[in-house]
Amino acid sequence: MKYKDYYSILGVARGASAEQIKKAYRKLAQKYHPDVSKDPAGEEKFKEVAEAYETLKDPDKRLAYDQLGAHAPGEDFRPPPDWGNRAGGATPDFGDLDLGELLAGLAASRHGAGRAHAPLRMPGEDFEAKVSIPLDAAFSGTEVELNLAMPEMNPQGFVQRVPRTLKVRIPKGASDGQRLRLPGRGGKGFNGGRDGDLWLNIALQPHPLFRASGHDLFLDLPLAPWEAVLGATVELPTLGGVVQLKVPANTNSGKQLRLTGRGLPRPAGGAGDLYAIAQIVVPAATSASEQSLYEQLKTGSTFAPRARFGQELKHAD
Amino acid sequence: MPTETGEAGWVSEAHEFSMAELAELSGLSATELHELVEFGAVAPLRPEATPWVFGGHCLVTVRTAFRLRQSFELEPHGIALAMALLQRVSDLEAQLQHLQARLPQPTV
Repeated sequence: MKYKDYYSILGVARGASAEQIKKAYRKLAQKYHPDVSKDPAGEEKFKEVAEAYETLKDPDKRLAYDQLGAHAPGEDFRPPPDWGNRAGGATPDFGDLDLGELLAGLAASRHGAGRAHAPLRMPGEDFEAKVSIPLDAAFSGTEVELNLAMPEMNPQGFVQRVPRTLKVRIPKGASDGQRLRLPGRGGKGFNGGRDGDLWLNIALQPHPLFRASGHDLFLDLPLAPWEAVLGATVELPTLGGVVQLKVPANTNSGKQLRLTGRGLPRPAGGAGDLYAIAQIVVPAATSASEQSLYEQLKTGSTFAPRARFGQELKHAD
Repeated sequence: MPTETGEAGWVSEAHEFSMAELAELSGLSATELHELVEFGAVAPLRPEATPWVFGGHCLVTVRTAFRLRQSFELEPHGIALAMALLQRVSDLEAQLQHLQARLPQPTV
């Protein structure tokens, strides 16, 4: 069994008081709690912190833990002989049990000892998994493979994490931050308790062309100055394939051309829209003949792009 | 290692949950759920009609409420306050993402 140093995880001394342990936990929970923190490593860190607090806040569990002695974190160790009985439960076959699960199991068997009533119904653990999928997969639906460590009861009655692989079909309709539920696919319930649920938290991977907001998609549409002035029909990529887009004459930079229903599909049917944002771009290099055409435009045009500056300044005076 | 397959479903308003179902699935007691409704953290579909029925998204909300209660030892009013602030953060993030999506990327 691998040793975990619960005191160093919480950043307290081995002789810390219950109050000091509680304070240290609260501070770390605030920092790493997955509902509060944006730290990508926060969830894992919070699990460690919560497991450490779960043991050290309970005087019996803390005593049992202390009786294991101090070891280096991650060190393979065996509890002293008869430790399980002294700690109040049956001596398990330690094998590759997880320390946190073992302490929780001992506490549960201690609380249940000597009682005549039926064992407590325990609902299975709910699992949350973050799944990051490409935009195309959100558009057409996809299948992902998840590797989970599911709690299962071993023959000694101790909960042990067992690796499980689950293939999950994600229907089309995903948007960033959306949640999927697989009822009963979490941890198994004990003594007739319901099985837990598996929750998938969807994140959309960035795409080189499209930016998503909810189910709407945004795409920059580069236009040559003459296409913007004269209008043009251009080929536009969408997640469903290339379409022809008519750009009206006199299209300014920043104008949004909407393609209804060409965004991401919605779970309940229908789809978001695709917005092509016009961007007038100028060629990096121009030939002498192009330069002369621009010169002709310069002399022949009465266009004053900054006319508003003068008017606003007059108003201010 | 055995591989199982599962079909995932979106959490939507089309799923409706009774108070008892919501309590069982979230781990909160019916009394705590009542208080969360009272403090505005979660709203039944038709508050005037009893027994209350909740839309699918409430399940996500009450699970968060349960986690906050467990991890921070909060009472229902504290949970409702924390959830209101988390909702504001999430609304602002959505607004920011929307604005960023509309912002043209610099051309090379």
